[in-house]
Order: sequence, then C-alpha cells, then structure tokens
Amino acid sequence: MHPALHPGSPPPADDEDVEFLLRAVPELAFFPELADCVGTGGYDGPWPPGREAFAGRDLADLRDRALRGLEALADRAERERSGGLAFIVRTLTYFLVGPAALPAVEHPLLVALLLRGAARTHEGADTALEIARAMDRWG
Amino acid sequence: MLGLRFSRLVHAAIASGALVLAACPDGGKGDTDTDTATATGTATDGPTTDDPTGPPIDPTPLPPDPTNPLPPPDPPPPADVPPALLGVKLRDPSTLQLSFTEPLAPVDTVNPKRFRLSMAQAYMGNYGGQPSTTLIDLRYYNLEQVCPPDPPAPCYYEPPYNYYYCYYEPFCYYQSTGELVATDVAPLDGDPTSLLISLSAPIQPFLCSTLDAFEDNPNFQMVLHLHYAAGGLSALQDLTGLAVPSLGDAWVKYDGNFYSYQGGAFSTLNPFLPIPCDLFDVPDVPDVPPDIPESDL
Repeated sequence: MHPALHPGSPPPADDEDVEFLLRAVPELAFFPELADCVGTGGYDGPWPPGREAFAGRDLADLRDRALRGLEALADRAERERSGGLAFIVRTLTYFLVGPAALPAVEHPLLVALLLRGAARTHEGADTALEIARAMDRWG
Repeated sequence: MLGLRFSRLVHAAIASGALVLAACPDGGKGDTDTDTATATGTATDGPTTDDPTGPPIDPTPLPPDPTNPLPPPDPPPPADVPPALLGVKLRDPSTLQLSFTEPLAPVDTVNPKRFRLSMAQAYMGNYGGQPSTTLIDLRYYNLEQVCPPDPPAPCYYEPPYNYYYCYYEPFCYYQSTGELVATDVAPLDGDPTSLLISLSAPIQPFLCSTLDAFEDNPNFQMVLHLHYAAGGLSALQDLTGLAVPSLGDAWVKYDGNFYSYQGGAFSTLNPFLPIPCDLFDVPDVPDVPPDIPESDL
C-alpha cells in the first residue's frame, strides 16, 4: 500500500508531501469503499484505453457512487487517524462536486475507476501498477 | 498529462486557501479566519516614494546648436599605408561585420577560408611560469541547447513515485554545432569600409557565457577573436591595391583544434580586437564541460 494511506499517516506538511500523496490515487481506487464504483465493462478495445474511449459518456452515476465511496473513506481516515488518506479524500472530493468539479475524464479517481472497469476484460490489467501506468498514458 | 494537470490544480487550490493540508477543526495552526483583521488603515498613508521637492529634471534637454560647425572629418590615410582592421562585431549570430580604416576593393573573389575564429585564452603568468596563449577551435564552446520534441513517456502515477525518475519535465541538453567556419565574404551595402562574413553556424549564447568564465580572475583572459591570412591572389586590399596585413594567420593555416605558444598574452593578435559577444542575455554557464575528445588534448 502507498505509505501515505496507512493508518496513522501524518497529513502533508509541504508541496513535496502533497505531490507524494497525489500519486496514491491508483491504489486508492482499490480500496473496498470504492468497489461499487468499478463498472462491469463498456470497453472492449485494446489496453490501455485513452480518454477518447470514454468521451461523451454520461458518467453522472459514476460520480455519485464515487462521492459516496469518498465519504466512506473519509470515515475510515478519521477512524484510522490517517492524515494522508484524509487529505487525498478531501482533495478528490473538492474536485468531484461543487464549483471546482472537473469533467469525469479529468478527475484522477474517476479515471482510475473507469480504467479498473475496462481492465476486467484484460487479464492482469486490474492491478494498481497497471492502472497507474494506464493513467500516465491517459493523455 | 492527467497527473500533472491535476497536480497544478491542487497546488493552486492550496495556495488560494480552498484546500488545506491538515484539517484543523479546533482552529489550529492552519486557521486563517482572523487574517482580514490586519488589513486596515494603510490605504491613506500617502506615498513614501520620491521627494517631490527635489531638484527638477528637464525631460527635454535642448538639442545641439545647429549653427555650430561639424567636427572636421578624419583625414584620409596616406596612399602608401595599407588598410587596417579597426574592429569586428557580431551583426547577428551568423554574421560578422569587419570595419577597416578605408574603403576596400571588391571582395567577390576573396576566399572565406582566409578567415578563422578562435577562442583565445591567455595566461598572464602571475602564478609563475611564462605567459602563454592557447587558441581553441570554436566547436568545443559553441554548444546549442537541444530539447527533444518528444520527451520520454511521463510517469506520474507509476511507482516508485520519484519525480526525477519520471522525467516528466522536458529534457534538454547541450551539443556542439560542429565546425564553425566562414562561408562567405560580402560587401556591406552603403559602407565601403566594411564587409560581412557569414558563418556556417550561429554563435550560441553558451559560447558568450564561456567568455565570462575568467572575468573575476586576472590571471586568465578569454576572448573571441578573428584571424586572417593575407598573401597570394584575391586577398583583401584597398582601392589602390595595398593588402590588408595578416592577423594571427598561423591559426588559419593550422588544421588542428588547439594551438599554444609562449610569450606575451595574445602576442600574435595585433591588432588585438576581441569580438564583443553582446547579442544575448547571457545565462550562467551550465555545468556542462566542453566535450573535448582525448585525441585532441
């Protein structure tokens, strides 16, 4: 697990810590609180898919599910006194809903969840490492 | 790239206060609710800049009196004095402009191989030992910055989460422009006392910054200098057929890339006419040593 997501992890103290934490999104997508957000398909092209594979889709339902998952993760962060997890959850929520909300294909967590859904039809792709690599090639 | 774009948004949100690093429900270190209390009472303090009672400065000084006679022109040189080089400057990174004491004969047939540039480095002898001068081919200092258009594939999310490992900033490096020679000699329109020399590659800012390397060390001096070899047919000459004398011509005739000699600093460069390298806002010298092959040392 990404070190910043462990129980008892401190909150970020500076920009470097923030950068370190933002890279934890692929692993965060594998937390059980977000399991309901992983789709069952809808993509049968080559791995990894790019953003164009999901452009124009209505992803409002995914956004709603992700919000509920992040709320559950916020509870976990408080329960486990994980400052790192709390920060990444707070940050992803800030850019998920409200005036700062990003398009789904620009939101790292939604992208990670979309990729997890697409990975189900590609053997060996539904791992944090492969999702991370796919996010780097997302565009 | 997704990760970098999101990173910038997050840092901007933190900087604006929309996001905080640590939640502080009890008003801890990150609580800034009281910050606005300090923003009072300074808007009417008045300016604290220049004293308005100081001496007035006339912004429009009077032009020169047009009734004053112009200074007399320089007398023409005696007919039996050969033309001399007065100065060399960079007209642009790929062109040298040479100025002479008098008009020159047409230069159409002048072979550009009569000219060669050097990085001339002199040791003044203050540490002991003899003063000396070393001439170095420009290829070792004329380094251009190369930034590949397609940097390596970025990795933001892929472990080990190492900023430097990922190379997601554009990667640039310096490489030599290669041999730098004169390729053409041409007259300068409207000025018969000057001529232009085209170079095979533009002078780079790196070279100019290298010239400043010894500016704080009085024991060494490095200059960019032009050399010229006279003699034979089709040399530079004035309208009466008198030839421009050679200037450090051993360097022109030498086919190596390093040439050293003992004696006074720059003693073969007479007249000594360093070329000002003032075309660029010269950056600091990057920490990249010149790539000098072992065989040349």
